[in-house]
Amino acid sequence: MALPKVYDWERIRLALRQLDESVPGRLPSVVLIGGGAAWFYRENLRPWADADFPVPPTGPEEESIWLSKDVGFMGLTVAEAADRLQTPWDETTHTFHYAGLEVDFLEEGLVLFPAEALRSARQAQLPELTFNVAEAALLYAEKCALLARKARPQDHLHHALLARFLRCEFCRQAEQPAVLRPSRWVARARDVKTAAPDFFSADPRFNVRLAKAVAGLTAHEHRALQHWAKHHLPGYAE
Amino acid sequence: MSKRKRPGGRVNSMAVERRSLAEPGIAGYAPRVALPALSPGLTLPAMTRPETPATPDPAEAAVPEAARAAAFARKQRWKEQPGNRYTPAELQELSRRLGKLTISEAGPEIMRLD
Repeated sequence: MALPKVYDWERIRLALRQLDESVPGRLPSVVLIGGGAAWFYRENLRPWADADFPVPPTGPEEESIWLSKDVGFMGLTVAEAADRLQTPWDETTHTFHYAGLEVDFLEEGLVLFPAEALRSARQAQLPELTFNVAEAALLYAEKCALLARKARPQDHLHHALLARFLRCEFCRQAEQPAVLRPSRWVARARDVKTAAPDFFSADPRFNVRLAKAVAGLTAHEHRALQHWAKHHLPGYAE
Repeated sequence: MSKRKRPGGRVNSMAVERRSLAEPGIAGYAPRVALPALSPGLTLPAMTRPETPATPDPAEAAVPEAARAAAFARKQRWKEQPGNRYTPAELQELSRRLGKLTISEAGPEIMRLD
């Protein structure tokens, strides 16, 4: 069933705002997941314009499968969402038809679950809207699991984007000691390496840049990164 | 600490969590390994991570798992139908009209011990 409506960003903004009003106080407790979340990370990576980690190039064919027009969240069960949104669940599309949007509330992924998604969520801020977006490392782990068990073409694209984003962010944070949050950095590195054991060794440029950045840290509170790098970052030398 | 396992499944920590190791002989449950002696009053909730989810019984999980797989396949078929994905031009337009986006890490930094 093709969607009869024309989808545009204004409609998405409107629907999210309406969702916020329909579910008062609950938008902070739901988390954007899936391709939509990966797309926001892509849009966050783009303005960084990092020479080592540009947005992965995609041709027209790949762009045409990058993002579907449903929006996936975690944080409410389907029953709770049906009650709040006052709209029936469509089992065929696995979504609610809501304010011109196809809204899905996923109760569990392969390795992504609501409690952890909420606990670790990041905040995406737009000029007129703030909402939770799932932590990039969790999304990446879910994409790794999906690639291992399913065969959806879009997962390869999202996986590549999230890997690029995370590598860029690991480097940028290690290069900016003033804003570096060492426990969080190490926890994220651990999560990512658990999902993809070769994450820190597969890309030589990333490896060299990160090793250099971590070696350059001098503050005592950053020793956690250096300890981690000693055990997990090939080529790292104090 | 010995962990008790159910046949064919992982540790069901939620089930373990509800009882004290100091209380022997819970009806209907026969531990496969001897439990270590613990001080009176020392219970598992102090030693298990509260966020650890219960592991469903494989037999009970089989039906929901099949239903989830079917829903997953159905959803993917829906995504692949014409008009249900953004075109390259629509994606460009979304990016162009997005406005200033920041994604930040909210909340205090919490040390994780696991």
